[in-house]
Amino acid sequence: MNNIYLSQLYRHGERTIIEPYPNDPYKDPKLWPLGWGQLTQAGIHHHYVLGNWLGTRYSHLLPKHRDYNLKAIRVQSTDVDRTLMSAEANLAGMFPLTPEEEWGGLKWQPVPIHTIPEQLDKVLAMKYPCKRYDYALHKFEKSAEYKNILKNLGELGNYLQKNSGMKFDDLKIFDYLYSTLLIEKLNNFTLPEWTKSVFPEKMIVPAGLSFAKPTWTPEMKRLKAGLLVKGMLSNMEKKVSGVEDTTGQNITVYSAHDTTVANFLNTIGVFNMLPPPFASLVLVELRETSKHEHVVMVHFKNTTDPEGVPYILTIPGCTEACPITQLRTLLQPVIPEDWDSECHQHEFFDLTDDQPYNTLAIFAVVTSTLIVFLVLALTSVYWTKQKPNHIYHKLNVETL
Amino acid sequence: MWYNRSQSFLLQQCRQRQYTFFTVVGLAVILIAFFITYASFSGSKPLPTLRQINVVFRHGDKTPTYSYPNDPHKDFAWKEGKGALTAKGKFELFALGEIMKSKYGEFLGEVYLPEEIQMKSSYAPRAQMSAMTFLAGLFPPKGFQIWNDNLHWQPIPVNPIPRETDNMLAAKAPCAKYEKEKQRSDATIATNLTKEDNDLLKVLTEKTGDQINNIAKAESLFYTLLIQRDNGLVLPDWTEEMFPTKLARFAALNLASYTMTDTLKKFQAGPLLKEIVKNMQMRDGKRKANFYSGHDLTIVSLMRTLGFEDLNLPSYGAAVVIEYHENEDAPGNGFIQVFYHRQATDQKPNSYQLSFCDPSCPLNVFRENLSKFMPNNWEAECKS
Repeated sequence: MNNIYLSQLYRHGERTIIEPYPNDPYKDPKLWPLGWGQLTQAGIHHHYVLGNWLGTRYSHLLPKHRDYNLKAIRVQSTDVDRTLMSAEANLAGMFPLTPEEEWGGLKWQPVPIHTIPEQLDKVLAMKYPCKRYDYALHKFEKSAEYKNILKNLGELGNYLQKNSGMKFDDLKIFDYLYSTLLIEKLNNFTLPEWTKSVFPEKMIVPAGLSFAKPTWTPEMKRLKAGLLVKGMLSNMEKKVSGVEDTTGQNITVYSAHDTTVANFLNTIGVFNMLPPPFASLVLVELRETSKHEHVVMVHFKNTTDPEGVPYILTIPGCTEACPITQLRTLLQPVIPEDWDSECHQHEFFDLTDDQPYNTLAIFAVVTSTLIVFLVLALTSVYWTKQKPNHIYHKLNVETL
Repeated sequence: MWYNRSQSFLLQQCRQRQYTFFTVVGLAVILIAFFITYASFSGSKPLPTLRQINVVFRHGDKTPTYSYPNDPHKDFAWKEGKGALTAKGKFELFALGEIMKSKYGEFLGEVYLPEEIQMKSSYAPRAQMSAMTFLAGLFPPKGFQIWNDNLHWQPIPVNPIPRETDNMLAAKAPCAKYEKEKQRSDATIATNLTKEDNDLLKVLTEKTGDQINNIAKAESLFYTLLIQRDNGLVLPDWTEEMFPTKLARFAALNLASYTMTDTLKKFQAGPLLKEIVKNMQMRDGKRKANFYSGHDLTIVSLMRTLGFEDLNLPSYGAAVVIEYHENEDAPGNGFIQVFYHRQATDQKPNSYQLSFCDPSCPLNVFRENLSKFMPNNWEAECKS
């Protein structure tokens, strides 16, 4: 089977902690000279080696000798320092400088990276406002299923809240604390005594669950990661149909976050419910069989180790090598037709739940009913004032 | 007696002059020795009052984007593709980064810290790549930031501005008011062209086989010829008459045409100028440098809006540096100095004297004098 197109989606490399927790013994900023949430030297190195691994594995999709040119690859990153830097390091490994490419400086060459500000990014940052999604999330948070999950985690949450000083009012707090402890451990900081009974084993389950939460229901999947899935799928379909797109690359790269990786995997139905490690990587390969059929294979490199082996993931309802037409059918429910207009649809008359739009809808219905009654009442008062004489007069005439 | 006295007076004066002479020479020798020692022991000048730099530069050497129907080289296979940064271009910006390091290294520090440095870029790949090589020259990893002993490079984020929203670097975001004014101003420029100019345009149209009927088309032609010549391609004989001098004038005039009037300046260069002023004004004490990777037009528009209106064709890697200084005893009331690097390898930038300031320019004077070029709300004002 011939590999003819590839999408890569990776998480950035190892970073410093986003924010220390209130009782963190390592909260002194001097311990983190790079600042919060920044890619570390280990993170740079992992992505550099990973880039070289990718370049070797997919050299058949790259220009000869892995020379770089503007059509060799398309890279899209979220607009965050650590993802931009990870992509730069990865590309430095993927396109090592060949003698032909010497430019008189370093054994390195620049490769442009597309990025757009987070507030304009609908595909990769996954933070663009979508009212319909907010409603779906709100509805899920009120559901018995979610409340039950939180209830089962109550004891662990209380223990962690008491010791860390963090407020455990959301599932994602488990991951915040989990990742902070993980990074401190990676930096050889001795973790406090209280962590021993819970980290990492007991915390990894709720931390992993927190990654599944944003894409829990089909509707949430569709509105959260649907555009990314749609983009990848339509790129592959263009390749299959031979439509020459303007750029013509064989490889598209997405440099993003653990949430992006988890949202994507959960949306196509293959998430393992564990926090995606640093520099973990999803590979979506489009292949052409000897019978000229097009199939898609999904691999997941579930490790920070840049030379680690990727696993094949099978999309539910399909085979390992999933025919692209079948994949389109299977993923149809999670692919938005028109994301923007779907985001603006509100269910005004869904009265089963006390979500904010319903409150608004009820208010609107009640107010307009009241106004209608008021108008009717005023009209009838007016008529009763005007008509009686008239009617009386008429009757009078008739009796005569 | 009178004669003798006068003679002895003269003698005395001579002796005095001798003393003075030796003292001066002696002092000079000591001073020179001091400076030589000083210069050889310090890599970069200490700039004790410097608080922030804002640098706007042009990308490096590129391949052409335009070719004309009769172009003998129109099928020339440019290795990097069209409009792409070349190996020479990569080196130019790397060199500019190194020059900036030699001047500002001590101020910027050896360790790259994301919160101290910002790099915005035009979306054009050549501008993004220029930004990356510039940063490679400016911040080779040091100390704990070395992550690979064989590669003295580290990744530093570059923020390209999406083309459709870019009103400061490529400055291609649509602006109705600007476009209307530009049409009007361009018509004036066209009517002011001499008969000679118009005859030249006719010749160009005839020779190239393309409609070279305005200075904008002439600029495209100029750059294509320039790049071809720089890459050792032989230009057709007919170009001898007008290339480079006459065509260069057209090209420079066209670059200037984008900021010919105050209104044009406001909409073309205003957003960038406003951001730079904001950078200097709203300092949180962390941001040390703001870099902007743009085009020849970015440089010309900014310089003209600052008041430097001589026709100019910025070379690859040309850079405008706006330094912000503060004295220890007068925090918050800093002053500005403007420098211009004519080309990437320019070791000694020219200091530019702003017409409304003497000799150093307080930030508030700078802002007040240029406020007419800084739109309050670019988008809204573009529509009105």
